[in-house]
Amino acid sequence: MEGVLKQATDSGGRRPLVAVGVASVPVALVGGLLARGWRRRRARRTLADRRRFESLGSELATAVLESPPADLAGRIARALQHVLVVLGVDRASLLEITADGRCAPIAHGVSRPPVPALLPAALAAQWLPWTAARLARGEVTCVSRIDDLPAEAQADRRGYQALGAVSVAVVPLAAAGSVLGARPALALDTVGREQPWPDDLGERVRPLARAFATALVRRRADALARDNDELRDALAHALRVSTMGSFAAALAHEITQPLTAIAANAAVAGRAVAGGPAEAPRLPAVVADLEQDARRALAILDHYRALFRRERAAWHPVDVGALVEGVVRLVRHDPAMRDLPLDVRLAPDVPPVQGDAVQLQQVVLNLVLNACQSVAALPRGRGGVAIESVRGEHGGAIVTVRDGGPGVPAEDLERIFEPFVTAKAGHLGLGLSISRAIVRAHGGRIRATSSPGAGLTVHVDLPPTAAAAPR
Amino acid sequence: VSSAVTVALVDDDVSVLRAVQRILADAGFAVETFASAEAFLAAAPWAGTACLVLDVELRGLSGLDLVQRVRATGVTIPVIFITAHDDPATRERLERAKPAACFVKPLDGPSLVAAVHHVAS
Repeated sequence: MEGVLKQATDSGGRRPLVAVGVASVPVALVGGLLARGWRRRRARRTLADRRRFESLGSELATAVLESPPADLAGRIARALQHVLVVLGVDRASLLEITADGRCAPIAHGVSRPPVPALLPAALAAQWLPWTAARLARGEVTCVSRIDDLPAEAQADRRGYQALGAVSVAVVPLAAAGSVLGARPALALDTVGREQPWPDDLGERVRPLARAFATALVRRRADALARDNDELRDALAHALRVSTMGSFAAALAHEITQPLTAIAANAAVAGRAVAGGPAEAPRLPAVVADLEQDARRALAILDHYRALFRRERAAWHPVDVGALVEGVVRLVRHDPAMRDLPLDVRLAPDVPPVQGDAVQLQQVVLNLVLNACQSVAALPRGRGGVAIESVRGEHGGAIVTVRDGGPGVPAEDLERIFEPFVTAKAGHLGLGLSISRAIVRAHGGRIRATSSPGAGLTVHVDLPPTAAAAPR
Repeated sequence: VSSAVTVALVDDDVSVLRAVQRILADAGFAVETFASAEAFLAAAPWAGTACLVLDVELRGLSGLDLVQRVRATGVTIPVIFITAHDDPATRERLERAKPAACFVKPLDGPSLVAAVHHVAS
């Protein structure tokens, strides 16, 4: 055993993440002599340990920043395993303790066989208020025997006892990772034996603690980003479905034009062929038109297919003017809206924005459909819809959609972006809330203004290319 | 050919305009084509035009507007509407203009030719 320990102790230069399950620090239960020997050696090893923790910490930090989200849990587990080995403890866990002392594991804990790892359920059942208070102050809690805990830590002592711990160290991770008052910590303990802690334990594990904190923040950010992506995709699809009626009507109308020409030309071509050589000179022009209209029909299908595809968001530079024109084209072909006066003004200097063209187009379409619906009931000639795109003050683009409808009272201007808020019968009132979610996901902002009798204006501010990133 | 019946055709979709013109020309009509309502109005007083075949959904002045303006001048050319919209509301609006016939796109060529024959002769 001693040979193994020595070998592990001397292996400071080895890559740390491979030494798994080997104790590098002698167990301290064997008596005073050995314990004194440990203390003597400890001084020599302190520097080496510190260097190892430092390199381990920076290695973990790099690994965390570079690892794909799926690998993160594995990296954390390997780093914990290493802490276990280097400090010679039986269990190492990352957990969160709330301000009132409730515990929850935040990563799979590791343990040295045959000691089993801490079960999440067992951990969650404990109450550690004294430790929680120290964590809140950023202090390390570190006792060789839980019996040494002060009287006011009664509850904590019982908690540690229930977990089977004898020596306990709880090191706060960077406060940056705390959520809802819960503080993350690195918890180390021994089972059935005492463990003398180095005086500067907190100092020594600091690089690692910092790396763990980074890992946790990163993991949380990944989870948030994933949720956001899924939510945004689902929302965009919902918006597409809700505007499907317009799509169907516009598609039917648009594709009817080339089909009408194709049917007529095909009939003419048929007769020309039947007419024999005398009719032959007419054929090339007719066939050319047939081909051209078939192409036109396919191009229309492509256009609508792009608007309907259910795909993960694709992040590209988006031409805002072209986007608005696509929407206008749709609306002009929808029988319910084709007679409304549309005033379209596209500034020539609007820079491209970064985002998903299909989703952004859905947002503008939704706004324009809303606007058209609010003026549709007005007498003919009263109340049109104006769509405008201009360059934002700090780059980026601003799209405004203004209707000449009855408008919205000032006190309701914020509420219209909430789900299920609508003035229209038969509408779920999801369009604006979905639009807001999509615009926010693009790093932009959406707001509404209205003045009595002057209708409603919705402004969509999209940030310049450099400022936007997938969220 | 000089005795051919003259039909005016109005459609703002050039491709459709050309194709329908071919159908009517094949049937023996002399066809005058117009790409907008405004262009047709400019060709007043339409002497010799036996029938007006027109698209309802025109950019600018609509097909219905065009018929109203033509009727307002006292001219009573028979009208055949072509529309892409086969819905009750559109049909009702068109009926009010008392057309000789109404066709929904895509067109059935022989039916259109038969209707024009019926109206123009």
